[in-house]
Amino acid sequence: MATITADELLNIRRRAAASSSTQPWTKAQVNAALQAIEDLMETTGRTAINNAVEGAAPGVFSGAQKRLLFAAFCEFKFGKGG
Amino acid sequence: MATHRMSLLGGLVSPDASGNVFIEPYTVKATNDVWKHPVVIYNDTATRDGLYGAFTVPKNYVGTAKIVIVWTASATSGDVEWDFDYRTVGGNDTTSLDQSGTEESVNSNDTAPGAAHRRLEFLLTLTAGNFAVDDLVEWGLFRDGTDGGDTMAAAAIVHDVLFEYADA
Repeated sequence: MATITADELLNIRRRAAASSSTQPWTKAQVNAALQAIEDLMETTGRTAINNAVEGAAPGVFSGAQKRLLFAAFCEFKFGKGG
Repeated sequence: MATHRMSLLGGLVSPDASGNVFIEPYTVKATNDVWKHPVVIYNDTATRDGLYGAFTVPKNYVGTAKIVIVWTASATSGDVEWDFDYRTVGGNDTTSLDQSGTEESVNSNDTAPGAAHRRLEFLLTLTAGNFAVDDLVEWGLFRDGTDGGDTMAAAAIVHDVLFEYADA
């Protein structure tokens, strides 16, 4: 599981704050939440997404393409900036 | 005896070179976009970043010097660590305006508003005897992201910085 660096956390925090009209959380709380998302994605999340894409279109997408596909999906699902 | 307040943002001010402190219209952070006056943004950072300026101590200054920070945020949780550094310089052809080090540095933290964009007023007490009528006060107002007391995960929005003092 990768540890998100302090600078990376800072950048993600700022993007989250810019996308939200209010922030009822502290730095420590949002840092912990982001690391939890990272931990989930790097374990069960990454595997589940990979298996779903492979099941739907076997051998079509490379690893990098699956990441691009997932990023585009997130933008569709949650909107640019959430 | 009366208490007076004068804005330090009415004169020339200059953010430091970090890019984490800057001036923008309030409409960028506000929701209703009605009031378009400039505000000073202090970003959420892990560094100590600031805004600089200078003002002259008024003729009717006697004492009880304070700095009043009028600020808000869209966040409703966490604290901001405010630092105010300054040096007073008086006289004519006697004292350098380019001295190293500060005369005084005061700091403390203030908590985010209970609801987004509520007006907050935070006072920092200064050593009254450091100031004399007609002194030029060189100052810097910082948000100290290196301090563990700075926990607010959003930009601090400063609407005004006031020098408060008492006259005779």
